[in-house]
Order: sequence, then structure tokens, then C-alpha cells
Amino acid sequence: MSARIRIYRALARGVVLESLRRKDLWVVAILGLLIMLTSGVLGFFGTSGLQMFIKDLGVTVLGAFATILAILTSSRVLPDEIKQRTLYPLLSRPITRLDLLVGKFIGSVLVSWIAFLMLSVMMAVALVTFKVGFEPIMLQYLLAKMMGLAVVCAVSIAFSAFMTPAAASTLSFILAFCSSMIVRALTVGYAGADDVSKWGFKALNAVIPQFSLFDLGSRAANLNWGLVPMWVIGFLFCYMVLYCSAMMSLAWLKFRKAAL
Amino acid sequence: MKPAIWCGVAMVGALGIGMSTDGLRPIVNPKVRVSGLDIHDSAVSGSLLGQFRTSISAYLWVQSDLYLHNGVQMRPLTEAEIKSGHEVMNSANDGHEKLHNDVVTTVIPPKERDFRGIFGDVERATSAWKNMKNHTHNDPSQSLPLFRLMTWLDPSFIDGWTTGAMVIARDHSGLATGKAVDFLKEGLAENPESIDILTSIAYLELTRRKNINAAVSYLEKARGLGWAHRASMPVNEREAFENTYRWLALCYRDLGRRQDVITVCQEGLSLFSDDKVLPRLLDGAMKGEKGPGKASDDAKALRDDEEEEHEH
Repeated sequence: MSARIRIYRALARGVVLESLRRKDLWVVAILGLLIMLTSGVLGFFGTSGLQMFIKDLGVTVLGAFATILAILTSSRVLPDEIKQRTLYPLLSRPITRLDLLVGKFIGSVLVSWIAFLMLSVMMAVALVTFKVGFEPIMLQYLLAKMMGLAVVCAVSIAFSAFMTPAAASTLSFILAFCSSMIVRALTVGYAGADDVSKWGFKALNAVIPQFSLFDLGSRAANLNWGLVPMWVIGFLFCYMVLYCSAMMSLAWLKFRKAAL
Repeated sequence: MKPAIWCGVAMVGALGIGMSTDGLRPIVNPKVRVSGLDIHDSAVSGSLLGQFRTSISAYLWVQSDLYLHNGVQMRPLTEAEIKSGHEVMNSANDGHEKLHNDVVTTVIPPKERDFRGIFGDVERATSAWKNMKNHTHNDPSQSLPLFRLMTWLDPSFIDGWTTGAMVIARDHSGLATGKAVDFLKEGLAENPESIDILTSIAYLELTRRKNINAAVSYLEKARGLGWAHRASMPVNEREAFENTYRWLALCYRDLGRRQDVITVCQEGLSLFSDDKVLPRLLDGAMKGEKGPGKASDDAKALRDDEEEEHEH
């Protein structure tokens, strides 16, 4: 067990170092700086009465940048190893293909979490500058968003096992930013649909990744919304574990017998 | 070779249909353009800047609506939902002018209308959601900076000016009315041909300041502009144009200008034949009735009726 943990740790560390080498996290830092500068421009108009707007803008930008980085990182961890032929020395060690997949997944999640937390700190500085208050739900927002980023990474890695990195990231972007719209369309159309379509709607709703469930931004940005009940956080955790397992299983089914 | 021939035939056919179809011309290329939008077509930089400004101001518009509802996303009901008797999440009657059309519901449906089971329950718990039947609004004055920002970014955004003014004038004080009228006049300077802004100023002059003559001057201007642009007009402007005739007829009735009431009603009915108010006013003028109330009260009542009509 401890040997396996060591393997995962080494593989995940490799993904983080690779991300640093490719300056992905530097890009995040620059984006953060841009956020601060943009906030400065907003301050030019005066922020009295705009606090909620600024907070909402903050959580939206934070979520979007973190999701973009999570997709870009995770959709290329596997294809890059194959393309650069660094996969062969890895697999020549006592590492199974499943270990490799899980290690890369953990690494991708870590990179997206580090980026998200870096952006969060910069956003917090910007918000404090404008005297925007924080409520305890902000912590729940961070926790839920981190779980959501893990699901984003799992979906992107699964796609990258079946298609090119460009196609995988494109499809992941579509799902990450449009799944809530698809779910909205399903809920609006359900009442008027026939029985067969209703069955299809339910199936699609069950399969599609429910990224919007992990976004507490609308509660965190507005006033006087209470904390989310613990059973909901528990549900989100279980959903994350189940969905990530399902995605990793899919990726493994393809990857375990793939000719390298 | 064959595909090339077919492509050529299809292109010539499409060109022929396009050139012979003139039904879309007044919409795509109206004779009278909304002046604020001209800049978008006049130069590449103007067009790009226009797109940016329009997008940002539309985003701010959505944000101001979200702010009023404390983050709860609302949407208009679909035709099918209205027909099926879907529950309307209207706003509570708090004695103020309504800030939005009330034929709305929440984007995230309530439990009894949501087929998603636990996913729906969790989304209602993680998002800003509550039952919005007879909902109240956050203090709208806090959203004023957003209206100021959106009209600064896109001065041709008429809804920003008119709704912003109603938000400013919400506390019914003389000072607030003055500020709202000033805000609208600023909008009118940017959009001198906007009927919606003119009727909004007239509404405030009539219902708040009880200044019928000032209201008439704005309404007459709106009437003239509307008549000139009657062939092609956006929906909001058309609704404002219809109100112009109603309120103008009410003002003339109070001023005792019977012949003007008749002229205005007849002209209005020639454009809005299904209007329910103008025939009543015309009938009253024909019989020489003075009317049941003051124009200011009647105009307010008409606006309330119109909003209720929207709800049903």
C-alpha cells in the first residue's frame, strides 16, 4: 500500500513539476495580476454599491480560469507522455498502466488546485482592497469548487484516452461551460416532452457531468445565504468519487490495451 | 465536376431567392435607424467597440436583475408554460412601480416541477434559490451604480436609462423624481429619437409632478417621432408608442381639449386597432364626458393594468 502511495506521489510530483516547467502556473500568476489591474480600473468608477457585483465577477473569473487550467493540464498529461516517448521508461518500472493513470490524475488535480488557490488568494487581496466582506460560505465555495475541479480533470483525462488532446480539451470545455445550459434545457423541455423523450432526458441528466452542482458562487457572491447543509457537501464528495472513478475506469479500459 | 455544378446552381438559386425576397428588408435595413446603433455599422473600430459595449452592458443588465433577486436567476415563461398554467413567480405588491415583467419563473425549477430528483435538490441547496412566489427585491438603489455603468458603456441601451430612472424614482420623493428626470434627460440627449425615454419622462411629469403641460410636450414629441418611424420599430418602442396615445388622450381630456382627444384616439386606433383603452376614451370624448378621474391617476392605473395583463 505504502509502495503504491509512493508511486502516486512520484507521478503526481512529475505532473506538477512539468506544469511549472511549462510555466502554466506562471500564466495563472499573470492572469491573477490582470485581475488585480482590472479591479483597479473598476475602482476608478468608485465601488460604492458595487461590492456584490465585484464579488460575483470575482467568483466567476476565478471559476473560469481554474477550469480552463484544469482542462488544459489534464487533457495532455497522457498524450504528452506518449508523444515525447517518456512513457516507456516509466512503464519499464514496476508501475501498472492503472497506477500511471491514477498518478497522472492526482497530479492534474493538484496542479488545478494550486492554481485555483493562487487565484483565490489574489482575488481575496483584490476584494479586501475594495472592502468587500467575506462570509463563511466562501470556504464552502472553495471546497466545493476544488471537488468540481477534480471531476473536470477526470473527464478531460478520460476524453484524452479516446481522442487527440485538442479534441479532448475542446469537448471538455464544451461540457464544463455548457453542461448547466444542457441541464436547463432538459428541465424546461421535460414537461412538454413525450414519454420516450422523458426517459432520454433522465438518462442524459444522469450521465452528463453536473459541474454546476459544485458552483456555490451565486450563494457566496450574494448576501445572507446560509451555509450549505453538510449532507449536500457529503453528496458532492460521493458524486465526485463516483464520477471520477467512472471516468478513470473508462480511461483505463481504453488505455490498458492500447498499443503504445 | 458534378458537385461544382450543383454548388453553382444552389448559389444562383439562393441569390435569386434572396434578391426577390423583400419581406426582411425593413427589418434588416430599416428606413429609419436607431441612431445609437449607427456607430456599430459606420466603422470597423466602431463596430468592434459597439459589440464590446453592448455585450458588457447586457452583462451588467443581467447582473442588476440578479442583484435585485439576491442572486436567484429568473427567466420568462415559455408560450407552452403559459398555456399549461405554469405557476408565475410574480413580485409582491409593495406599493412601488414594478421593476420587471412579472410573467417569470426561477431558472432552477421548484421541487414539484423538477424531474431530476436528488440532483435538483442539491442544485437548489448549492445555488442561490428560493421560492419566488410574491417575491420581494433587494434595495434597488444599491444597483444604481450598475445602471450608471451600463449606460456609460452603452448610451444607446434604452432599457438601462428607463429602468434606471424608475429605480431612482422609487422612493416617490421630489428629489428622487428630479434625479430620475435628469437621468432620463441625459439618456434623451444620447438617444434623441427614443420614444420609450420620452414617454418615461412624460410619465414622471404626469404622475409625480402633476405637470400635465410638460407631459404633453414630451408625449407630442414621442407621437411625432413614432408616427415617422411607425413602419419599423423595436417592441419596447412600440409599447411605449401605444402608451403615448393613451396618456396623451388622458392629458387632453383633463385639459378639456375634446377635439384633440378625438384626434389622438383615432390616430392611435389606426395604428393599434386592438387597443382596449383608446376606444373607451374616444367614446367618452364623443359623448362629452369629462372622465372618471385625473389623468395622473389614470395613467398610473393603466400602467398597472398593463403589467397585470402581461402576467395573465
